[in-house]
Amino acid sequence: MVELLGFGAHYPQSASDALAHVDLSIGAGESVLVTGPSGSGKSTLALCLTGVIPNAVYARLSGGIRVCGVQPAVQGVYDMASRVGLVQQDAEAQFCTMRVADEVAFGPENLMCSQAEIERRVARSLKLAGAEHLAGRALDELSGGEKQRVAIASVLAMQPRLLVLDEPAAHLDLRATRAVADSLRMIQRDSGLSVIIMEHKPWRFAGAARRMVHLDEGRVVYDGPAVWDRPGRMHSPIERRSQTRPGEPLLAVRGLSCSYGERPALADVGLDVGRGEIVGVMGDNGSGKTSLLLSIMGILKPQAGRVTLCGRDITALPVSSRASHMGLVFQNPNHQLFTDSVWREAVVGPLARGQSAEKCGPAAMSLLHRFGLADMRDRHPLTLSFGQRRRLNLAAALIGDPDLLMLDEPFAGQDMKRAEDLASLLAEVADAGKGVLLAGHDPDIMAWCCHRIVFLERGRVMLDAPASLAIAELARRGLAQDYVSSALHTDGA
Amino acid sequence: MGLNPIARLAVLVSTCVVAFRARTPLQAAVLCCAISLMHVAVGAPLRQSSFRRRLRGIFLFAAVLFASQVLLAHGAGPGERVAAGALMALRFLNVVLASHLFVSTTEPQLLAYALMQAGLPYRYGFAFIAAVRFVPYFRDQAQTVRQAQMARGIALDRATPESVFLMARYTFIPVVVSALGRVESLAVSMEGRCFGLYPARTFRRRIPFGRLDALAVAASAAVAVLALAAM
Repeated sequence: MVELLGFGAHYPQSASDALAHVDLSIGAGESVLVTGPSGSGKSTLALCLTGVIPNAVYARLSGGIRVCGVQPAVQGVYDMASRVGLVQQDAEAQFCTMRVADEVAFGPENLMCSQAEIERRVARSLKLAGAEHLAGRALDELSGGEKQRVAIASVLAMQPRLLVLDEPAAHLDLRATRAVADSLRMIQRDSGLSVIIMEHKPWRFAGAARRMVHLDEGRVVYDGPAVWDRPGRMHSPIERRSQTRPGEPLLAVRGLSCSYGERPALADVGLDVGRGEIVGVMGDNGSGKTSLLLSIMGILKPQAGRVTLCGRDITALPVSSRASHMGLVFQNPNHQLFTDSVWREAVVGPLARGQSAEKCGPAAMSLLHRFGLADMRDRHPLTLSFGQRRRLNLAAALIGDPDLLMLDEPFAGQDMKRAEDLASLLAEVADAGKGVLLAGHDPDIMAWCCHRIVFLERGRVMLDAPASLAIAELARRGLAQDYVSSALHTDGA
Repeated sequence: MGLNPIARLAVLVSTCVVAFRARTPLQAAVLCCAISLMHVAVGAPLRQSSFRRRLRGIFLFAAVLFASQVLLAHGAGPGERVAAGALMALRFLNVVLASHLFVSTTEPQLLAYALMQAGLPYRYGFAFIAAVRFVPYFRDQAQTVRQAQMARGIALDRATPESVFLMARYTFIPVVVSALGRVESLAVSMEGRCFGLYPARTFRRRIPFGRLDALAVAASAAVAVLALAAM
């Protein structure tokens, strides 16, 4: 099905090869997990298999590649579309229509299939993806997992022989990830398709593939049975840092309730964060994690409740005043880069709050040094790598020396190396006597880097316990089975 | 209302022509009543909270139009200026209400499909759908960027001309960068499903265009011509 022999890919603007000397053979009906850190070449491989590289995105190719018996670079994207289907990270971004059945029909319509054939393909694809019940729904009404299943169905409607999924769970919570993994197992069982899943957290798709290929810096470093190290076995920044324990109380939230119009977001939420403490807020997508951070920051106005920072009631304080005492880092680094240089980005907050450049300059320079960005002070922030942008976000949030640092889904879509680097930075921040509150839904990482975990369900606190006990407590209460089973899952497929 | 979206579009265009050709406040008021009755007849969501919020702004702008005519128009008596102001405000209201009636009863994708099945090149039809799909995306992205600005203390709690300008400047680049990534994903997705392979394409569902639709288009055309000629 797939034959790569000494295959390489090189982007013209890049100093190193995206893929180098890759030898890989995948048989018909085989399922393979391709794993590796961000930038290891997973997405490049996916685009090469579908012919997007070099036909739509240019890269210089070397060595041999045959997919379904043909050379993708020669055949072109259109010809490959009926052989290889590609499902990308963000399902929402792939949709071309507004309703589920229309979306699945989009490909067959482009192939000039008859109305009867289109209907047949739509019904079959939705059934294979476990999304029959969604046929009549509007796309914007679907949950993240449902959208990803519709994206898979829309690719299956092209009747490919090979299905390639590029980080299909990057934007999904655990329940949705499990649903997608179940769909993939069903597709493989019922259709006999070959399936390649690009995923940097392979345990999320345990059971979906028995074989694993590990890429690193564009090379295959492992090809064999699916095995992996889970974060629990990695070096925990909390343990390494002499079991930092919360000091004096810093943030106290009591009875916080808020809503978006008539839809409640938070209901009677209470939590505490102490100095030197890292508290994780967990829960499914839509459980209220982001709303909680926005409410504490003052961006989302609460209808009831009280927020106290350092013993001072800040519930009525405007956002601009709170910004001096707390920092909030959003999920997407690009959403928080406003200016045209790293230096300006670091100081734009304090300058907007009325501080002079002389006053905030030394602090900014010190932070840029600390985060390894001082040499890049004149570069445009958008020319930085993802990790550098994330560090710049952190530096910008810490510039006013806030007591509390909040982060929304900082580990989403990040590989374990990046997660470990970020967790170490957060541990340093906590060691400096600040409080850290971070929202996320990955129990592996959250349990690994937080002192305490607060679990939200439908806007309410269902659990508040030390991280080491939180997972067991969730199991004891019979809550959130997916979270418990994910975190307790043994290694290997 | 079971009309084909093209027929609905024809009704909207003719209504707008009549709205602009109305010469007296009475004519415009009659049209306004007719459009409001059509809202009721087809069950358009006049009571929807989002529309009610917008309605405040719409009436405010209509009031500004009225006041500007009454206060600033030259060479006419007070009565004529009031009439001119009322006519202008009612014209504006008629166009907005008619457009709301069309938008609230017509799915954008159905309109695009109907136009494509009537002969519009499908590339333009899907460009329209993609544009409609991008509207909420841009809104959500802009909202997140504004929240990120507020969290840094950039967006001031009290809006001033300087802060509004700064917000616009700092919002544009992050939103565009996000949009570019999304456009790339969409392009890969469309090409990967053979969009553009053939000059034509088939459709899973046909948007029927029946006698009633033909009648509505013909009647709309006739009304528009009459309005242009007679009023």
